Amino acid sequence: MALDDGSIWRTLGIAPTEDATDIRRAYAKRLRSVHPEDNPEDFSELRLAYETAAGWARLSGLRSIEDNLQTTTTRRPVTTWTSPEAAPFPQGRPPSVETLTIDQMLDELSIDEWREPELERLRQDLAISLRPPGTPQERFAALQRIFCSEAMKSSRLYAETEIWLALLLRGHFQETEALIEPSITFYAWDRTVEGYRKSPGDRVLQRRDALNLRDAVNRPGHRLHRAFVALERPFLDSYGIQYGLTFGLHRRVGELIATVDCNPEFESLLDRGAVAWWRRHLRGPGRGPALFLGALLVPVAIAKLATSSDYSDYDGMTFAFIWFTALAGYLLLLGATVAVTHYLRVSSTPSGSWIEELGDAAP
Amino acid sequence: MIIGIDLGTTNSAVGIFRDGKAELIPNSLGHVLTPSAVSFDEASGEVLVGLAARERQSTHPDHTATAFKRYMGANRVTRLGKRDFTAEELSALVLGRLKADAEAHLGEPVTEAVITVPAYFNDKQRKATRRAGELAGLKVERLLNEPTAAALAYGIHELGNESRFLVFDLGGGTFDVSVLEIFEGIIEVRASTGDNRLGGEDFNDILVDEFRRTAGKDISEKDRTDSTLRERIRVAAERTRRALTENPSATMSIVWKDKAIERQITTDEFEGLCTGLVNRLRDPVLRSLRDAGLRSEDLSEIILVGGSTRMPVVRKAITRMFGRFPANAVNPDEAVALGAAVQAGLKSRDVALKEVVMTDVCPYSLGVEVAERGPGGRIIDGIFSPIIERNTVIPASRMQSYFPMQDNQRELILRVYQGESRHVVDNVPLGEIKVPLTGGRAEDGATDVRFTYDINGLLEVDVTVMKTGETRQLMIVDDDVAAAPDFEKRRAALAALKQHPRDSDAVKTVLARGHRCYEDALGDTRQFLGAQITQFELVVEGQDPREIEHAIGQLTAVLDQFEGQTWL
Repeated sequence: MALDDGSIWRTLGIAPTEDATDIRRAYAKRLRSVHPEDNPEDFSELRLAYETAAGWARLSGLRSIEDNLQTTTTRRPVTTWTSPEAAPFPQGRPPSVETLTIDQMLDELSIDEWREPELERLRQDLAISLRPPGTPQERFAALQRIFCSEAMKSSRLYAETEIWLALLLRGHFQETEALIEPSITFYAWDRTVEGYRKSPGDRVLQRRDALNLRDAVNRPGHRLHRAFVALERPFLDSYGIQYGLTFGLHRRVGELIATVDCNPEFESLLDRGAVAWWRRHLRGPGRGPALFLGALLVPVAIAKLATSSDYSDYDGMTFAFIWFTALAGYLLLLGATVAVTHYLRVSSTPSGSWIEELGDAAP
Repeated sequence: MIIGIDLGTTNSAVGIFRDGKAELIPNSLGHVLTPSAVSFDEASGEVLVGLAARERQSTHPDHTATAFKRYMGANRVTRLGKRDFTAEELSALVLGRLKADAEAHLGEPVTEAVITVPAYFNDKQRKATRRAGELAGLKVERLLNEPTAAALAYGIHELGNESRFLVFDLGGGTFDVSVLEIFEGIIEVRASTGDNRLGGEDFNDILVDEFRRTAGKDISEKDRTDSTLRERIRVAAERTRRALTENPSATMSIVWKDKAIERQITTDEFEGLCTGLVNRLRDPVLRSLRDAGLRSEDLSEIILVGGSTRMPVVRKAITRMFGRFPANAVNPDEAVALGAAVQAGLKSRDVALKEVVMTDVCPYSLGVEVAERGPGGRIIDGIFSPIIERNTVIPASRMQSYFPMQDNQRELILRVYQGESRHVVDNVPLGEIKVPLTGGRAEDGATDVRFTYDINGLLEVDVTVMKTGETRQLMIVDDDVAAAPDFEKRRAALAALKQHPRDSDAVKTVLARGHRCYEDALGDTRQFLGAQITQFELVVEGQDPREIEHAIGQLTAVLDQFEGQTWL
């Protein structure tokens, strides 16, 4: 049953293609006539053809990714530097400072004899050498050397580390993890010391958690799963990760919270803080009283403004008239806003069953 | 008319596809689930099947068998009174009862059936199931994998959508995981795996062990091996496990030698005890996802099948595994039987199912034993060489060539195995085939081995010696079931057993339950129950159907008050 190129496409009944969907559709169509129960031999031939064709399609997909990777690497080659001549960021360096490589600076820093002003200068130098222009990869490599150096252990770089880490996190690479872990253990950031000043790594750690969460929630996959992830991990209000979440996810999270209300035993699997935050968030801020007060005060203010001009001779009736007009306008505007918001929410929320959402779940 | 039967470890059900939809057939008691229990009543010489038999489990442990599906395909006999039964004979009795229920409901004789088996049942267990069907007088049209059946029941409503989902089937005695995909109206099983020795009964055993360990001090050494005590603890364990589904804690209590022995158990405690079992749920899930090439994020739904998935412990584990709450898309007890009914409809080419095509996979690898030449020319034998790999879409046909080990070898012995282990000793042997060779150089002795695995799970092995063109064939099939010398005898013996008549099932069931409750009770309650039972028996002797019906309702109400509602 050896299949050559031609016979595969003949069996599937389509022209040669690398489109997986077309192949699948052709297979499904042929399957109706070549039923596995009635026609086992033809079926296994069809299946073989389908699997081979699907395999080729997957392979060509991989190949195109590979090609893309190659073009990106040729466009922007990764430079490595080993000697002072090939120092990473020559133009980013102020001319007044004598030129030292990072390694030299680190060596200097690890010497004990320095007084505070010199140390300060060295630290600044290091910080400058990490500034752009330099690709994130280059900066990352430089940081890695700093973190592995002796100077790091002498805790002379204490204050800077936090800033650098935050800087790196902004560009957030996967590799940042490799830097965060040693520094956390080194400074014992994971342990809270009684009577000590605010743990310096707190912000970095929080930020890392938030980024991890955002990554996990934004990863392609089914919404139910992403919603669960959003509820499963602790996060603080100030993280601002909610910007990355869509309306559809809001609904899923709402459903999950409803499930938890029905099955209290699941509560232990989720983060209480996150659930509470989402509950508040989904309920929305208490806008009712504010809107009511606004409805009273805004027209009054407008009417007051309008009647306060010098040259006018408005009486009480005019004031009431303006007040009414302003109130009507305010209410109209409010109504329009509510309608538009509602429309947006409805149009962005899938209306059918869960299964219709699969379209965007595909990676 | 083809019926679909879910032959379960704890409960069985039967369904049929008609008027464009699948429906379940109620038994004589009006329940759609029939407990898979068989009891032999010495007094009347009758065989009881179903709820009546299960109620007798703790009062007549030596005459009652349950959970025999776990010994399917094994040479283990269960002794009920004076007679020995194999697991397939007991299953045949249950199947026979289901068949009778279907005939009574449909008003026509039923001769063909689709029977479900756990996906991870091996070849021997499948054959035993098929034989059980034949013993019950049913032509087994198809053995269908249970998760596939559940997926069919679910997928038949979702045909228009493209989706990928996972069926998590934890029944009374077996555990299966299948990953399925629906596209273009085709239901395709992508991967299927499981553990055929893991189920709700194991969770019961954990409770039994715990009870024996902590509360068992009150029981004398001699009594510990008593079968009545064992069954009582088992029933109490089952009841406690069900209570733990609803409540944060439950009391496990038995009455032994007129003394109540109790043990309080909380959900957290139970969870702690079950850690080992829960961990065993993990590997099959991971393997099936890996085989299907999917991540848990890609699944649109997790479908829970089997009564054991109701346990909070299991649901929590599933939630952790998949990172989402499972949905109650199907009824976990009925989905498999409904799916079997759909398959029966597919098989009889029901017009409503004309456009549906389903492809299944072979859940384990099939191959032959080979020897390898290791370093220094040492021959290592007993190595498994798979020919059809697991999760190959069936029907499938694969071929591989093998060479003799030695020059001038005169014979080639091919042993066929099924399993995943590299060493054949850990796999299941299926058969053996001897091929004569002409000798000569080993390199010239190429022999092609073709495995053909058909849609019913029957394997055909063809061996061709390239040099001579000689072919040998080995059918690892069970078409000899009906032809086996003792088959007719066995069937006749089973048929000769006096079956309890269907129409008085309700009386027998409530009476058995009454006797059990009587034994479980103490003091005044016992006296009261005894009086009630006597009164009931008097009414039954009166043979007035209306009065009997009334009395059944009354006694059931009394018993419900005593122990809470009965479960299925």
